[in-house]
Amino acid sequence: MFNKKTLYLLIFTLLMYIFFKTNNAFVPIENIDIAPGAAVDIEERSDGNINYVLPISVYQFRENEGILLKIQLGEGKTIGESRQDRQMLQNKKFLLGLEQVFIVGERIAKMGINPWVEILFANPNLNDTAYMTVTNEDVTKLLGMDIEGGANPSEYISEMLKSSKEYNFFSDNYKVMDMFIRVGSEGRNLVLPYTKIVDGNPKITGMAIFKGDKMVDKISIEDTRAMNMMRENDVRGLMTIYKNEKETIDFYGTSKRKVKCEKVGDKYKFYINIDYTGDIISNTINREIRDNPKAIKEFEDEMAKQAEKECYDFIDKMKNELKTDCLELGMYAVAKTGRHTGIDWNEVVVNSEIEVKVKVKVDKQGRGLFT
Amino acid sequence: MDEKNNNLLTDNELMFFLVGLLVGPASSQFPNILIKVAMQDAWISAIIALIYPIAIVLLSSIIIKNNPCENMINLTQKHYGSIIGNIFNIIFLLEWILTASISTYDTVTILRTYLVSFLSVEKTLLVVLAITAYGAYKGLKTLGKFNELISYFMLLFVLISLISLKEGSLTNLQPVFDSGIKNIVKASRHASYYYLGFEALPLIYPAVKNKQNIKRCGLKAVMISGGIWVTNTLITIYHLGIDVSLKKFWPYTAVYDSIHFPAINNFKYIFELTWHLVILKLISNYYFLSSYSLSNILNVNFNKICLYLYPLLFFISYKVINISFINLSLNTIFPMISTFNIIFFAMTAILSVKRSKKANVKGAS
Repeated sequence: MFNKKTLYLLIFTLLMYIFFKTNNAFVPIENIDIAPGAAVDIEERSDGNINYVLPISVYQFRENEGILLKIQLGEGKTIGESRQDRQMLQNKKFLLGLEQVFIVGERIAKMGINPWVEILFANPNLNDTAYMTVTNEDVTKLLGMDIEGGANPSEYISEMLKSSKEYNFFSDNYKVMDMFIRVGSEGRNLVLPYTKIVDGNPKITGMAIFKGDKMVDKISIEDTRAMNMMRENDVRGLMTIYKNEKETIDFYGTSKRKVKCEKVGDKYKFYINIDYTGDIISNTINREIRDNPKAIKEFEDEMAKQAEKECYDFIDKMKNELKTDCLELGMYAVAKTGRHTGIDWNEVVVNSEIEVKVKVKVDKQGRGLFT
Repeated sequence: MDEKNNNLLTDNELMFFLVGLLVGPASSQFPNILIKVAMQDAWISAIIALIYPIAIVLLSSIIIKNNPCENMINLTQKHYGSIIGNIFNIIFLLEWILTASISTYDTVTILRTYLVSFLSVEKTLLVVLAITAYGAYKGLKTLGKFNELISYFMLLFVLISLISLKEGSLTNLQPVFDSGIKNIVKASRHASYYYLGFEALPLIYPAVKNKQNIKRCGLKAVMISGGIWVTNTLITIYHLGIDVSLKKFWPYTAVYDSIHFPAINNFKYIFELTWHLVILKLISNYYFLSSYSLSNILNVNFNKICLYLYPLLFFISYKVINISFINLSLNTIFPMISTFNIIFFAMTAILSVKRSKKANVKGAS
């Protein structure tokens, strides 16, 4: 009943199948190690050189038991070698591409992350939207820790970094792609959230400041707020006017920044204009704010003054201690002067004048005043 | 008569066929070629380089107006005699074959990096060329139809790339004109390979339905493909900046890496799959043009040539083409070809105007 054409087609298809069949093309999901998280750190060897340590956390699919988690550790002189070493204890083929978080140890961050970035940059399967964080904990421990409620630590940390943008003026620019762009571009610097284990739970405790590919220092969460406010555009955060424990005003809003760069002779001058618009979410000081425009104006000025003070405090710290352009002002100077001129923008920014102006605007005041 | 009319290209099909000759695998490395010379002003070079396709379209419309029935190959043979005419035709043919094989080489490299790393070069090449040969074998009308269809997808994806505008920074494009007018113009010369393709217009116009619309379609096609090239360069620089862009082999694909859709884990795979339809379409177009010109030069049946070209293209893309050959052709051969094309087209246009005037005078008397 076959006609000739069908027969030929059948034989042709079969031959094609045999020709294109490869050993590693299609593997069922149970036979693949899927890594939701990976980490990197270094370790001193006895002969004085360093070893890269690359633990990954992988899902183990089991019938009836659901999904289990396992930490697999690789070590080696190079990142590639540590991958090879890791395969010795893996029972499956390893698939990169679905990872959600990369945890960078503080030691490798201080040495320079470029050797590690190189292998990520070359990998076409990598998920560039995975989040990144720096930690001083043992990275293996952090990846495999037990979080109350049974959450997967990699997923938990990734979600934590993603949600960080709700407060503290954090932005969403802590992904792998952002890291490539910030480390690789002229006049820009990377900052990454700094994670620690606090009471058995991972927590963001500040920021790691990078200069080029090397971590310079870490800053506290108070400094982080001021830095983020000046560094990021369109971010949300809370600020407080505190007189005593009974008289406070909390203000939650969106800050938008604009940077202007001026060049006078050899000197650069930067103007950072911040528009901080938001709601008064709690107010126990001034009840008049509700319907007196003058009182609102007074509050806005006071808030602006406080925000400016915090910003200037951070700029002082940046100029004297960090000596790095954490605010990415170099980017604007580059746009003014031209690229590939060989100027060290970190030095230029640290030595030039920076003027900050904050404008606060009250939008809403909630549904009422209680006290 | 109706059946014959149905086999002719409509305006849209002609337009997208021409667009399909320009936008292909090279689009993902195009920004780097310009950035190397013109830095952040690369997009200005991309605009300046548009002069070339516009000139080609205008010259070909003159040729077409004066010779409404014959294609370029026959016309050259008529104007310059069979020996010199065929030499010109072979140089003209070189462009199609070279572009087809370089595009195939590029495609195989990109495919093997991103999608089918488990296949060897030969196997990938076999499939890519088989698909494109089949498309070309089916003839111009079929090519026109799927050029139109795939081009809509392509335009959609170019629009999607605009999403990444929110990630980048305007400072990446500043200062404008920093690299100097000289470098900007110099970079636009490097773009010549990427703007080749509109020379096909006088080759395929006998198969076009509304001949009076050809000029308009050609200019529209220049606008669309030029728009895609400029957006491509602009978005890449805006999003990545010139430093990171130069670090990537295919910077334009990196733009899609950062686009995140809910419920889609890795958007770049969807992009890669769709973009390879665009690429296969481009190679298919060039495959068709090569076999069409060859069959016209040698006076052999088109279908036969189509089959014979398969091993030839396979051999060229597999053995002849390598990085140094691509560099040679980008820096030397293609600028020469584009200069040749301009002179060749201008000469043919002048000749055809003179001939048709003579014919008119004769016809009147």
